[in-house]
This record gives sequence, structure tokens and C-alpha cells, in this order.
Amino acid sequence: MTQTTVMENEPGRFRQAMAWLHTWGGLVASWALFAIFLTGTIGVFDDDITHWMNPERNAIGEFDPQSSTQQQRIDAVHMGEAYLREIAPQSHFWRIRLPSEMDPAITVSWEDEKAAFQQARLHPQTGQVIPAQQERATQGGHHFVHMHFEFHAGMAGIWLVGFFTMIMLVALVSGIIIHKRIFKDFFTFRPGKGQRSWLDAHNASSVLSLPFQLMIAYTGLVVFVSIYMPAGVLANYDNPQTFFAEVFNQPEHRPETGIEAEVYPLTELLLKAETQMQKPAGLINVEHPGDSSAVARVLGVFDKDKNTGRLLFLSSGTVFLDAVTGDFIHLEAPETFDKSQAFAAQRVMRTLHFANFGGYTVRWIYFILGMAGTVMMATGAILFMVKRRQRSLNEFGAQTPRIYRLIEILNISAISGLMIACVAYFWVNRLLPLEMTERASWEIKWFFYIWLGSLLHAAWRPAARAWIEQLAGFAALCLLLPVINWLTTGQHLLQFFAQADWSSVGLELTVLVFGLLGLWTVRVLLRRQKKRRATNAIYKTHTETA
Amino acid sequence: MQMWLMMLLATALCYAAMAGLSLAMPRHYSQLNATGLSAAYQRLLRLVSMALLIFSLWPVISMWGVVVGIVIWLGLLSVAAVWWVYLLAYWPRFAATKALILAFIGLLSCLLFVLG
Repeated sequence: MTQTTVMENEPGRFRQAMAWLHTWGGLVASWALFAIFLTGTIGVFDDDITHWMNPERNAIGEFDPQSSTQQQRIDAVHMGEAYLREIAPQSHFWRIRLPSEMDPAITVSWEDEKAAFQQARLHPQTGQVIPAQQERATQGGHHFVHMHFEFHAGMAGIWLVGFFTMIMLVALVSGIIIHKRIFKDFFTFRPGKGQRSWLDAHNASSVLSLPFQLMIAYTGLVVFVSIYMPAGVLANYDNPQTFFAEVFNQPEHRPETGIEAEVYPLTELLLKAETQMQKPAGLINVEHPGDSSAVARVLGVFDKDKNTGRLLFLSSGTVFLDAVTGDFIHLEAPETFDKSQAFAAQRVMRTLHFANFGGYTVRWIYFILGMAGTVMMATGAILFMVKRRQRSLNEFGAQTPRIYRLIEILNISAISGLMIACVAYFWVNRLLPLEMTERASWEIKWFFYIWLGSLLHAAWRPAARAWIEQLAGFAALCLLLPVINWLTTGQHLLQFFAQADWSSVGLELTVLVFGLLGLWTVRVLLRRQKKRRATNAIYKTHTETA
Repeated sequence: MQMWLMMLLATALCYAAMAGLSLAMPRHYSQLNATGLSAAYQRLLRLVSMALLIFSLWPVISMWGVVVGIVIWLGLLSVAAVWWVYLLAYWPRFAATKALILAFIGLLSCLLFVLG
């Protein structure tokens, strides 16, 4: 990567320019990218995490799709509708999600007066809101997913993530260009050799998982293509809604009229839709309920078996109905795909990015390769400092030591600090009282407070100490997570095994493995520090006697 | 159950293939404290590894079909390579022995399947 002599020929200059781009672009983006990657990798298991984080939810009982009858679905819609009519009669949007394998409760969501989405979970038998004792209010694994694609910052966050993802692509390509021994060093990792080892780890983790890294970065951008590249649509369509209606091959969004109109009974709409689709429905959306323009969209349940082995999912069936008159508007037949080719390509990339195919096999592959990506970013950022710790490159003149110190602090809190925040999020979930108001958002606030705390800690302590202390804290939080779970909820690993609750077994065992890795890292660092102190002492006595 | 076995089989084959390909390089072969990587032996290692790679496609595709199968296979290649490089760095002889055993089991189960 470093070139001592400036070659005058073009390829040499090109490579050097790429090296500069890779080093500085990579460093600046690495802190954000590490956060995007780590939370995205954890988010692969979002449903399993949500399951672990909400142990009370299991008390409602299980949902068996085989025994689900139409009458049960009608009852569920009836209860959801009654709740929505009472709590949000003047809303722009209603949704009723029927009980499913993932969640045995009825979930209703709506847009409140401030255009914010609200959600409530209703008991499938009584239709009452599930009380706090049976519902640990939490964002669960979705917190990681939202961190991953928007930093919990809405549209601004999506743009930021897109910006950094673009830099990741630049870093990947420039990294390939400057890696002169990509095939010779393909399998090379030499531990315990200082800077050499950091470079090896950086190269090996990125080269060996390169197809995944390129795929995940590119498809990540494509997921939000209509946000990141709006010009094409804006230049050709007066109203973006027209474009989407064309792409989706669906009726165009109906603008609000302002004329009040009673919502047609949703249970009737469910019956009509199920007759049209010839299959059970899983979800009802109503746009502008209470307005004369109201439209209901009824979606069929997703059929996993019919989509096994596919990257382009077939429609689960959708029926559009006038939510005032109950008239039929449009049917998207189940098991078809009637959309444009470009849209199909985008859909395939979405499926690839979200690991929506191949079940747990693919989820574990993504988890492991995602971790390889986080290692790539962390080692890259650390390598930058390791290189300069030996000998300053004086890039910033007199300010250089100060800027190095800043980079060191950011490295520590971006890497070990975020790791702590992620596992501490699980602790907060177990420690906050169940009856707390706004409990779910407090969990996320604590996540950020703890992360901020790690930044202050890193700024306060000398770098070498800060690394060791934070990694030791991380290891302790990981290793004690099953204990705190046992103390607060009475659940433990043996019980999870006995109940064949593989999501919880997987989560706690994985966290334990990370705890052990953290402990091992701390041991290596401590030993190295001791060795350095010993050599320093020898050096001192030598110079003193001389 | 069958799914897990098949995926383990595919991973084993990929792992053995990656091991073979890397051991065909003098630098990594010497990590085993072994001598005598002749040109013929090198060729043999590469040939067997390529065969293992091709065999490893079979369990994945038979489970997932061609489209999803190939995507999963590409992922498995990376996972196996990362795992191999990690073991080779810290426990080279154990890593190589494991590769040999896995290659043997993998090929045997492929053979049994073809015959059965």
C-alpha cells in the first residue's frame, strides 16, 4: 500500500491515487460503515431477536396456520376494526395484521394526527389491548434493522447510509486495484506480527468475502433506487404516484377529496377479497378511512413453500376494493408476477439484500460474511492508526498528534463502543420496568446513551487502556447476558433447549461465543502490553547503566 | 434434518477444496512443516480441489434448486475459505487433517448417493 518511490509512469501514479482514495475515503467512512454493517449483520436475525426480547408475548399462545378458519379471520378483523374506529376515526391510514405464525396477536397500526405511525397489539380472543405484563414494549430486532438503513433518522438517515454505501463501493474497487498480490496472498493470514497481521486480516476478510461485500453494497443501494435516483421519475411524470402505479401494475393512488364517508365494514371486504383470491388474507390496509376516496387493500398470506428456490417471489395475492362502496377495483392474482422487467430485477436484488430466501441457511451465511465485512472495516480503521503509531506520517503538520488522537478516540467508540451498545441493548430490555411509558423508545435511547458513554470513556482514557477496558466490558456484558435473563425473567438456556426454542438458544449461544472472543482479545492485548512494558523496562535499565 | 446434513456436506466439501487449493501453494504447504511439494503433487492437489468444488454444488442444488442453490454455494465458498484461513493460521496441522477427513467423508457420501 505504501510506495516509497513515486513512479512517473501512469499505472504507478494511478495506483497511488487509488491508495490515497482507499486510505482516506475508507477511514472517514469506516466508522459509519462499521455501524451500518454490524447492526445489519445482527439484523439478519431480527425476528429471532424480537422473539427473545419479548418473552411475555409467548403467553398468548401459538398460532397454527392449518387450523385457521375464515370465521376466526373475520372475528380478528372485526376486533381490529372496532379498535381503529374508536381510537383513530380521523386517520389517513389503518392497518390490521391478522394473527400469524410470527405473532399470534392482532396488530393494528394507524397514522395519528401528527402523521406518526402508532401500533397496538390486541388479544386474538378478546380484542383487548394486551396489557404491559403480557407485552414487553420493544422494537426488538427492528432496532438493528433501522439503525442499519437510516440510523433512526428517517429520510436524512437513508441518504447518509446511501452516501456511505457509495463510499464502500469506491473503497472495495480501489482496494482491489491497490492490492497487488490479491492471488498470491489469497489465503494469507500471519497472526502476531503487528502491522503485517492487521493488513493480512484486512485483506483476507475482504478478499475472501468479496462477492458478498460487493453484492450487499450494490443491492443495498438498489433497494432505495427510487429515493437515491429520483431524476428519471421526476423528469417523466408529473406525479410520482403515476410512475409507481405503472411499475406495480396497480390502480393509481386516489387523492383525498375531503368529503366525509363512512368506511365500509372491513369484515365484508375481507370476505369479498378472499373470494377473489381464493386464499386466506393476512393483512388489510385502508388508505384515507373516513374520506370518500378510501381504498382498502387486502393482501393474501405469504406462501413460503410456493416460493422456495425462487429469488423473484410470486404475488401472495392482493385485492383493491373501494372502502366506501365495497366495489371491486383490482385483483393481483396469487402466484403470478405481472410487473415490469426492471422492477423484477430490483425485486430480485431486494430479496438478495434482505436474505428473504433460503431460510436459516442463508441467514447464517449472511451473518458470518457480514461479520467478515465488519472485520474488514474495523481492521482497516485500526490499521490506519497502527501504521502511524510507529512513525507519524505528519499529514497535518503541527496538528498531526491531535488529529491522530481524535481518530483513535473515534475508532474506539465506533468499534468497541458500538459492540457494547448492541449487547447492552439486550440488557436494557431486561432491566427497564414493564409498565414504563414510551418503553420501546427508551430502550433505543439507552442504546445511544451507552454508545455516547463509550465515546466519553475513550476520550478520557489513554487509547491502549480504553481498548482493553471497553472490550473487557463487552465480554462481561455478553457472558453475563444469560445470567441477567435468568434473574429477570426466570428463563435460561436449559429451559430453551427443553422447549426447543431455537431462536433463544441461538441468540444466547451466539452472544456467549462473542463474549469468549472478547475475552480472548482482552487476554492478547494484556499480554502484549505486559511484554511492551518489560521491553521498555529493559531498555531503561540499559540506558541508565550506560 | 436432511437439510442440515446436506448443508454440512456442502460446507465440508468447500472447506476441503479451499484447503487443497491453498496447500498447492508452496507458502502454505510449508506451514504444515512438510517438505516435498513436487509439481506433480501440486497439480494433483489442484485437480482434486476443483473436483471437490464441483461436487459441492450437488448437495446445494439438490436442496435449493439451481437459482437459489448457486447463490448459497457462492456464500458457502466464502464461509469455507474464511474458516480455513483462520484455522490454518493458528492450528495448521489440525486444519489440514480436518480437511483430509472432510474430503474423504464428502466424497464417500457423494459416491454412496450416486450408487444408492
